[in-house]
Amino acid sequence: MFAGAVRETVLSDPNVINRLKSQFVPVAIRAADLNFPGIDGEGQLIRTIAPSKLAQQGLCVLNSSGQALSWVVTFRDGKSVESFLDRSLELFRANPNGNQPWRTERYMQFPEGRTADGLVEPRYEQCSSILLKANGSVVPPPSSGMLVRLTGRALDQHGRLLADTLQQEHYVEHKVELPSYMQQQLINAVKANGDNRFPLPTLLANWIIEQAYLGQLDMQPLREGPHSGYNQVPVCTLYAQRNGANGIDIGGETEVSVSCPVRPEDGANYSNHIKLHWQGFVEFDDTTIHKMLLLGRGVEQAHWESFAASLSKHGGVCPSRDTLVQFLPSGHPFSIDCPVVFGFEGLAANSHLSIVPSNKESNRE
Amino acid sequence: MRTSLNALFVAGLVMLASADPAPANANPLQSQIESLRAPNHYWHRITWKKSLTEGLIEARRSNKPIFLWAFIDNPDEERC
Repeated sequence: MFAGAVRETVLSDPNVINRLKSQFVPVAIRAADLNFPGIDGEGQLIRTIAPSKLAQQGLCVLNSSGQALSWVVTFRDGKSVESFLDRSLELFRANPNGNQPWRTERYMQFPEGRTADGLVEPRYEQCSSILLKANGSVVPPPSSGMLVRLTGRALDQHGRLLADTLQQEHYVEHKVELPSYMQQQLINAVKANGDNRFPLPTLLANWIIEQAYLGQLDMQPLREGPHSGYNQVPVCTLYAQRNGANGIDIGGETEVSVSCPVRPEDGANYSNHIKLHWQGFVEFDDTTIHKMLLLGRGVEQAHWESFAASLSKHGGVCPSRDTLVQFLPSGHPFSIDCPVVFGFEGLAANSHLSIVPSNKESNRE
Repeated sequence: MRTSLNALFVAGLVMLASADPAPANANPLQSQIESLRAPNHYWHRITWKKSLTEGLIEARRSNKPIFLWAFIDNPDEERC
């Protein structure tokens, strides 16, 4: 939830966006890597900053040798975000290269909530050695499946797209991989059923259901793990039927719900109930799906709040950005009950799939 | 339920088609899916380096500090 809240508050302010682009080098690493760094060069670099972190996720400013200059988890208000950037630039000017010991400033809430500083040894030589070995080569992991781009929107009661695309309960973009074995299962089922309509393989049906929801990750139906809620799938009539030599029509209805009255670790109270009607098709060859288009339309009722940020504490409405930056780890409370639409667009791994809207370049001024 | 969802589905397709004209030469379903994506979205306005190694190389080249965000995965492509 922290990441989504940061994106919706701190990183939606045009001034902050412009400053990060012009005055900083923006870097995003996986929280899992921060908490469990590897043994390679990247892991060694991360291991240097990990001891001074205040939480499992956070925002940190580093100098060019990877010394953590400052950590922050939340902010007093919107203005404090820019004050934190100002303060971090001051710290950088005092120690840009990391060739001296340093005391990392750490804030649970900036500026008042400062905790004990972290101590960091000089890092210049060690960091230089790691970067020299890396030689700038960072290879992304190979992908064997199909890249699928999901877009989800909330609609008003007249069926029009809601204008707000900032908050994830109104707008979601997500890229996910459709594993090769699910593709193969579908192709095998088509071959076995000839021209007859047949139920979509369960794994693929669940994969579709799991992706089609609004809100943050916590709201995902059928999610497994210690933080998951209680799931039900009362309706799933997803079917497939061959349409020509290399085509498959897909359709049907789905209904799924997930709920959690009180999550022990943070008091989160949430529920999500989604009913959708599906239409789409798949194009395939002997072993692989090379195109998939799916559109799901229906209704979603979702609710999220926590001890730290609840709707009842704020008169039943979502708090302002000034307030929300105080509650980044718990996210903002919301409640929706509206029509929704989800689109899946998948192309084979060796096809071009632009994950970013085509006008992206014009936004990189 | 099935009847009402079907009606909602058809009504929605009409709305989407009227709100966002389909690009030429595109499959109608593909056009409807593409029309859902918001242009110029906040999430894509910052180009994030995907590793600290990449970031430090750029920080040394540009003499700028790193702004590090410990995230779930890729911040410009993922739900979080």
